[in-house]
Amino acid sequence: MTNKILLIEDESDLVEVIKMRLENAGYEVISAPGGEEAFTYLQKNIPDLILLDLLLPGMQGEEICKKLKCDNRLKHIPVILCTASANDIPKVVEEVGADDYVMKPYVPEDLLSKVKKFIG
Amino acid sequence: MHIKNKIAATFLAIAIISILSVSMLAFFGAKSALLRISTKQLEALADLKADAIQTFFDDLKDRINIAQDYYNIRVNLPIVSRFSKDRTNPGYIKAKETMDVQLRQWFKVKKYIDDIMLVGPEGKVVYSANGRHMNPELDNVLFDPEGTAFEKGRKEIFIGKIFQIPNENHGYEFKLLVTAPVFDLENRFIGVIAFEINMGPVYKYTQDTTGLGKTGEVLVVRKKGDYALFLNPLRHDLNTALKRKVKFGNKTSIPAQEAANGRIGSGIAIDYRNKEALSAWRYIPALDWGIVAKIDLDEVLAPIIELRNRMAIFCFVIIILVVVASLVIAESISKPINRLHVGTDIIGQGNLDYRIDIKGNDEVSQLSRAFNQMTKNLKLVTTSRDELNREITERKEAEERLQASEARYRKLFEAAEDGILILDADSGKITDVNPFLKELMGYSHEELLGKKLWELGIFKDIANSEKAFLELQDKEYVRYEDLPLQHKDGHRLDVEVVSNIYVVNHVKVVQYNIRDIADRKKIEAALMEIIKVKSAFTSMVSHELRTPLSALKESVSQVLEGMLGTINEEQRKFLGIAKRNVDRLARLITEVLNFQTLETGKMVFKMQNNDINKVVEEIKETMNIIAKEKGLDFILNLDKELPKIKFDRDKISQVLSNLVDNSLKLTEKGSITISTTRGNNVIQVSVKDTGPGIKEEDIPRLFQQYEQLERKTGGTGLGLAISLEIIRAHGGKVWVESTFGRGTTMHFILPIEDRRRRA
Repeated sequence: MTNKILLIEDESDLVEVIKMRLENAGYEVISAPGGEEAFTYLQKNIPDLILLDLLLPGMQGEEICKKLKCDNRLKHIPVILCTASANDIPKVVEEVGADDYVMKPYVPEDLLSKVKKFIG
Repeated sequence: MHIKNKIAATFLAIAIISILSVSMLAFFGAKSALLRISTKQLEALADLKADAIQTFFDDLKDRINIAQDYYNIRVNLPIVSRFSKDRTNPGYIKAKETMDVQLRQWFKVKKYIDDIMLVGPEGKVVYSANGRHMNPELDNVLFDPEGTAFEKGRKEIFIGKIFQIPNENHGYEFKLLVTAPVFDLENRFIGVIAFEINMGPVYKYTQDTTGLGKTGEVLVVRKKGDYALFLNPLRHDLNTALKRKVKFGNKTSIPAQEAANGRIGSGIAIDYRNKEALSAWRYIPALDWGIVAKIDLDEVLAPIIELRNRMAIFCFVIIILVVVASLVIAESISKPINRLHVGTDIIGQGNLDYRIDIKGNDEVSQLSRAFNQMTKNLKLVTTSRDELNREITERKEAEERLQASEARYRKLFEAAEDGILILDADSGKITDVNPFLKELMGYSHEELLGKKLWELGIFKDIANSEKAFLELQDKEYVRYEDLPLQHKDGHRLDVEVVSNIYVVNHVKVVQYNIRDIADRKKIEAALMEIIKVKSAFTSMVSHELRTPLSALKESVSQVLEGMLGTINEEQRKFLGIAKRNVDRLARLITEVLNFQTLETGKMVFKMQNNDINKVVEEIKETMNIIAKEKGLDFILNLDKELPKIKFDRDKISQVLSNLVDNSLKLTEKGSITISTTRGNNVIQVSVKDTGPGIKEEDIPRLFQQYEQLERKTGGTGLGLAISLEIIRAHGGKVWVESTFGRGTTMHFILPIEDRRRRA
């Protein structure tokens, strides 16, 4: 069965290219432009991995991650943060309870290897 | 009990008691006086009537006395007696005629004498002067109820009893006989003379009620056995004469009984009608008659009853007046007292501003006035006492503060990290210097104190410092941001000097605050260097970034345009993404660079006469595609009459493009409207959208550099800051109006006339 990845990212161009990259690698990608849409999806679906942009309109990435990690039904899902800011990312990752992070702009191999680390 | 009620009750009691006593006294006094007077009047009347009757009969006696002595009678009586059986005898006729002539004259004079008769020695009437009486009287004995008239008359003058005989008019007449003996010339008894007296005039007289009011009357009685017999007709009972009688000892008609018994007196008694009457009774001894004058008590007392009724009304009115007056007076006393009482309570609770309401000028009002004055004075005293206390406290506090401030100042002065120098303002001599300055300058306390500033050589240029001092004396405040001083050992010191003149204890002093700015100068220099480097760096980076970006953009464009061969849809799509993002990157770099030039004031404006409406229309042309893609209406609302004004066309275009871009990014449905209008010597351009709007608290942050209210918009966040700088450079203004949830309108104005800050 194909592994499902939930991509939470508001920049449609970026969604487009990341989706292409991951689908080429054999994953099923579902995208949500913000926290609200993501949680609507999560009510009925449990993905295998979540890629979460930190800089989002509305609910912030940090908040979304904390909420995910507080939910008993969802907290087992690995979360990878994506960010353009270099400001002390490891600390943020720890604070919000994320599992890993990738820096923007992505090095495609880097993103793929991080994803593979959690879901083979 | 309230004072009001007390006063009213007292007034009322006094009034009622006195009015009642006076009324009673007056009433009973008047009553007894009236009774006394009425009694006296009645007595006088009774006396008068008794006297009149007495006189009447005395007169009769006198007359009969005269008559019995008449010569004619003395001579002719024996003749008429002798010829009584032969009245045709000339002797008889002559004797009769002789007597007739004389006696008949009496009838003319005294109407009440009905007849004068002569009785012979045998007791038979032998002569009658009244011709009409001839037949009934002659030859008969004298008619007398008791039959004693002749016998009594033989001896002396006798007044007989009243009798009643029928008269010619089928009524009755009351009469009595007066008889007297007649003697001949030799004084031998020859008969009796009798006057037949009609009681009419007497009765008329007794019945005359003049002076007896409506109920008064006079009655005449005589004793007859155990009874008192009423002799005259009465006012209330005309048929009483000789018919009504009262038994002695009866409860009624006591005055009649008394009078009949020969007593005199007066008083109130029950009369024959069983009514109370005021009576006066008299006795007429000559006739053995009693006479009673009486009047009904009701009538006597009528005036007094009237008086009593009037007095009752009068008393009632007086009492009402007294009640009203006493209530009014009591109220006028108690009300101000009450007010005074309420006032004292309020003032007693500490409200010294309260004043009692005063009306009138009576004693209570005066008391209230005095009380108000007292309260006022009390307040003055209290206030001045409070003020005094407060002043004392304030002075103490001020003193303490002063001491504390002095101590604080001293501490500051001693511990300050600035040099402080105190001079006498007039002489310029140093009076105090703090440890920091001594250390900074390398002088000792003694070397500085008492010297003039320019004598010391502290300042590098003595003449200059003297001049500075004179300037200070003039301006009272001088500041030097950067002044070179000389240390005692000769090395240079950079200081900032602030000097003030102020007055302490009437002496003008100058205080110099001297700050060592060596460190600050170093930091400033370093900072300037950093800014320079940063600017150069930014500029360099932006330019350096642009070069590879141009290559990137160009290659992507060429591939996308098909210059390198056909590309499929999927490739086109992804190349499109690449191109879009390369363009975006280029724009961002331009913005950073623009801002950099703007910030460093290096931006060049090409000011030319331009039509703002044209610029707006061009913007619509370029941006309308994006609006259509999002399904938004792009509306222009332009004032066609606008004049051409001077502005940098590209820069203003950039501003408009920026504003419209922002609106397009944020607005999901509805419209974008650009309008131009003319204001007061300005042209106003407004860009209105129907987007989400901006929260009020966020508006001030809107124009700050690198500020992105919505992270989603992308970009450097420099757009608005750059626009602001451009408009400002044109001498205009930018502002925003927004209702959160309803949309935003960005406005800017450009001046029509040239009055820019920098052109």
